[in-house]
Amino acid sequence: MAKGEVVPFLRGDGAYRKIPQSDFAGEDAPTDTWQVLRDIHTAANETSHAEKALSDGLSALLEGTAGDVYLAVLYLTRLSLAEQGGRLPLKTPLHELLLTARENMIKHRNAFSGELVFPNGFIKKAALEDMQGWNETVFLPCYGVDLFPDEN
Amino acid sequence: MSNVARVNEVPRKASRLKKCLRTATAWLLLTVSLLLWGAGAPALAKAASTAAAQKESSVSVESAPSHDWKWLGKAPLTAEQVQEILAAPKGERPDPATYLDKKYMQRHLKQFRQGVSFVMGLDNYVMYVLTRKSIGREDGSCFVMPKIVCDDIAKKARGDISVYEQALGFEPGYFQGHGGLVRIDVTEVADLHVRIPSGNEAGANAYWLPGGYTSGGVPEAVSDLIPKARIHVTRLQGE
Repeated sequence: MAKGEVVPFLRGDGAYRKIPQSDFAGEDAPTDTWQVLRDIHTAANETSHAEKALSDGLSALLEGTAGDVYLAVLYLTRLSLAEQGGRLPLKTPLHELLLTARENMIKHRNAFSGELVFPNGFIKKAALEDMQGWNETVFLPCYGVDLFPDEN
Repeated sequence: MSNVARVNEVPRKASRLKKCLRTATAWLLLTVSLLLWGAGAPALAKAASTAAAQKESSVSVESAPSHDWKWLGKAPLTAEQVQEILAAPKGERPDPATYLDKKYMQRHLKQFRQGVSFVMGLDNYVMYVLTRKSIGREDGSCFVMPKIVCDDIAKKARGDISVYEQALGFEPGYFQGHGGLVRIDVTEVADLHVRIPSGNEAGANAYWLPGGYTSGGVPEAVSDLIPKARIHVTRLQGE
């Protein structure tokens, strides 16, 4: 965070990769996004820059590769669920970020249907299905933002 | 009540949800030691740790695997076998039938015949179960424990989700941070091809150990994708 390495941290690049401890933890992601957000929250207690760093990091991911966009949408889903449950620990401009996500989805539409390879070697398949599910379950009903406006 | 709550299939009351969520303290995690070194374990521990470090070279020191060793003695494997299996790249690990004897495998898998269970955070349930037709990883596998084991944990827990965290290797505060715990049971398992994990499964991470037990000593297996229509869902909200 202090080194301005929030994007690699969010993405789980190299040494930043977080691994869920339990075999029963069911997340298909290049890093354990819950641990990442928890660590950013811990940092937010120590530095006022942490919340902005998270927002900036998510914005940067949304402007990145298809894998970056997928991961940013995954974080936005997790943060949205936390906000809906009244337990969002970090002030994050979710609606604004979702609008940015919507703008960038179309660029990667084809890539989302294939394999997304992350810098740490993690391979994500069926990213599109995940995001369509989150769109219908979380973003549309809770924020009125449709990430796939041409498909609904 | 949130829209997410509306789409959630798990029955619950809004007031209880609010109470639960307000008290969520997952972000203030406790420190915990997972290194419960068993007597006589150092040689095996060293072998497995070395292999784990080799196979996940990109893992940072702070997030590197630190197994506890409650599984020791449950799986009939030598230190050399464990090291060899863990050192093999994921995707190239041997079939458990090549290093576990048939009787052991039959005895192990018998525990799963009456049903399988697994638990997950509520957020993950919304993200990875509600939105899908079947449950499991994209490689078609799903890590499960015997339902009877989950029943035992439930008896001990009496609604305390931290007991599940401790028993199943989740970090303290994990379920509070995910909005609660969701338990999934499946009793119709005959066609799910329940088998001992090889370590090649998508869900096998740096903490995976060969032999059919988690590092905390809980029997585990993998099944094929589980049709959602077949699951029984129970939600625990915690304190």
